[in-house]
Amino acid sequence: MKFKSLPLYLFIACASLFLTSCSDDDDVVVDNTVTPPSTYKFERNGKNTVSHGGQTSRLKMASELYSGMKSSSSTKAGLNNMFNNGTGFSDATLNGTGKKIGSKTFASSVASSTVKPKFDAMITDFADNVIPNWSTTAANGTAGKMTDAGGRTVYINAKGHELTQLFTKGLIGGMTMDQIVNGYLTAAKLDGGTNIADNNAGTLVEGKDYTNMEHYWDEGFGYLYGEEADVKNPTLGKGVLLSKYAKKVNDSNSPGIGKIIYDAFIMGRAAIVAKNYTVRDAQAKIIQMNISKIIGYKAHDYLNDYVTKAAAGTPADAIHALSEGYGFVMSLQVTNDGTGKPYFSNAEVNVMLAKLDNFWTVSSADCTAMANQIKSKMSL
Amino acid sequence: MYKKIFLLLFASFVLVQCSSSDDDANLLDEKTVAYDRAKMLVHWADMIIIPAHSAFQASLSILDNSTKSFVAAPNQSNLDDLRSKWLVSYKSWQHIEMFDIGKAEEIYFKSKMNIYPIDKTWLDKNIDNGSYDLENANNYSSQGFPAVDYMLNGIGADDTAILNRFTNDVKYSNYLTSIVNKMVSNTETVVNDWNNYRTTFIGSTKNTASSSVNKLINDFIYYYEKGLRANKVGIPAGVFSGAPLMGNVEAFYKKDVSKDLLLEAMNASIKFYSGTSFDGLSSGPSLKSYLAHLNTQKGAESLSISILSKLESAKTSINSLSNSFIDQIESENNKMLVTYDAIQAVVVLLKVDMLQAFNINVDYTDADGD
Repeated sequence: MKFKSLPLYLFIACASLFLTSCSDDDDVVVDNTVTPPSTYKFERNGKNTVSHGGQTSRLKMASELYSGMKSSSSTKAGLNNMFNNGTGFSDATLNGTGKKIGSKTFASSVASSTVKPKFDAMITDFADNVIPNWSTTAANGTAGKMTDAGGRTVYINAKGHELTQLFTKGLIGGMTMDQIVNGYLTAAKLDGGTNIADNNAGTLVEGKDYTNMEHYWDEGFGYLYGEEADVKNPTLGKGVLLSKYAKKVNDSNSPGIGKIIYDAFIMGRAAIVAKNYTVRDAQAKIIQMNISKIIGYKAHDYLNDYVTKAAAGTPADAIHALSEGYGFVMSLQVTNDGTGKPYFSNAEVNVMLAKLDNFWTVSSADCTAMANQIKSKMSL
Repeated sequence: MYKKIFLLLFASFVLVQCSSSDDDANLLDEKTVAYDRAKMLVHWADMIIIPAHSAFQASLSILDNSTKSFVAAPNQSNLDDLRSKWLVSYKSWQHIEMFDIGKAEEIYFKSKMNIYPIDKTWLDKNIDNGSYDLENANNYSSQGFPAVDYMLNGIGADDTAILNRFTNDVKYSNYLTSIVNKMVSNTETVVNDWNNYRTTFIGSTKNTASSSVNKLINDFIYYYEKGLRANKVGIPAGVFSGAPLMGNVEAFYKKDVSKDLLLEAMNASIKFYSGTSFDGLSSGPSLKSYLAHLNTQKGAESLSISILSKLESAKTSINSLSNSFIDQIESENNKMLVTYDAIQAVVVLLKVDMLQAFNINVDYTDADGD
């Protein structure tokens, strides 16, 4: 009996060894099919694992900075504190949280460090030149105000820039988009440190209900959805940054783009839970390309708006549009075509911005040409 | 008897299955295993690291002699001599700061040699008290090259004032001697240890978090990203703050050598990446040839070439700066930022593309807290 059954014992023993002895090797098949939930709701042991408070704070800070950059009662120190130090907000819950917009402005590994100082310079320009000339009539080389007959009033610097628009639209690309598409959703960030091993093992961040990788994805999510009343049913159009313009593009240029992005965020997050990083990265790519397109559409549209409004004889409207356009063009350098490259490089954007430098002398033909260039390069 | 056979088979299975997870990990990437990592480690140790350390130790010994002469006779000519020896040694240091491994890592060598800006309050207190513990982490920023810089260039408004300090109160000479001695003894510890450590170092070829290959590659990238990019350029140019921080330039008190030091560090990085021997006369296995061996592409270009050409453009950009970064930041900080961008462009390739090609994990995380 012993003779006969020995090979069987061995077979079973060996087979079980083969299956269990090296469970951490790649050749062991694990089920990592991704089954996405219908909304951005993720839990572990009944507890919510989605958190992006830091992003929500920064989005709210941006709204106050946007207002501050068009109020004659602002001061340079006050604006600088809000931008660089994260203090001085009327919403006291935003003060001293350690979250700062300045440190996340064109701050990803691919963004040029030459851009952020332009935001500091805008604060200085606004405080030193625009505010003291609040009631001066603006002219080429003179900061002041400009009003359309029976219409809009803009407060502009000596080059005709409505700074709050350049600043805020610049942040849409330079903070919200850059942080999402070149920061949190990149493999370099998501897989940093021991993130893959931790996520595979379900090792949570100390004192939290999420893994580091889950949290990074959620922080990316937060830069777009951080001001939603309910992220399980986002409406977009919130605040002054990306969400606001995602809604506009979804409502006009590209119906359905909002759902494409939201679904990809859900699928990617579910992929992280399922430890399926191929699916995760494919979703990141969808998000990178589509958010980039939102910026492309707005840069394109505002450049054309300028041309239309300048021709219609409403210069304040035209300048307002071009100020928005300038900020979106500035943002183009941190788009991501899904391969880690921007649709337009820092150098290419600087060439465009040089043509837009003085709004008093800007050429409509240049604006039209740039709008077409953006449309064609980004396949809008 | 059957029991014995069973046990034997059982044991052999265990061995086959799990005997060496390191080797198995290498086998996962067949191309990785084909590159001779052992040869690369030998080249790094014998042709780059150890000669660079010897050269540094020699420069420090000369600095030590000049310090003795200066302390014995604090006059202008000895001060000039000491300053020039300090610069030679500081430049030599740029070739070894990246090798934060073995004894160097254990004794916090780089922290004791080159943390800047100095902590002026602590340092002044040390000089006054005449008693201090240079092993205490609070004193890391009161010793090393930046502290010597302060002693030779910063403790008086001009050379006369500086010489007067040394002439009139022995506490300055005492402190200078003490920190130079410490630099010499720390270096001796590290250099001597390489005699033994070399064997361990070159034998550790595997692809694990603690292997020499992985650690040194991580050390190199960490150095390039933090020691070179951030400390020498980014932080003083204000990349991580609201405004430039001129007090954070390297060799702040000497002022006109910040470009020299950065160039030296960049040259050292290019040489290490390319596998050029320390004496510059030969070359051997390197990150560059490893990448070429793997034939890794970045877009249409080979990654090994792409990294080198970006390192070279960063060097060109550095060359366009003023000798003193304080001057450069004051006159046109944008050029510092453009240089920062050029240096940063390599970080992404090293940290993401190259490590991916080698199948090596980054062993440090960005503390950009959120």
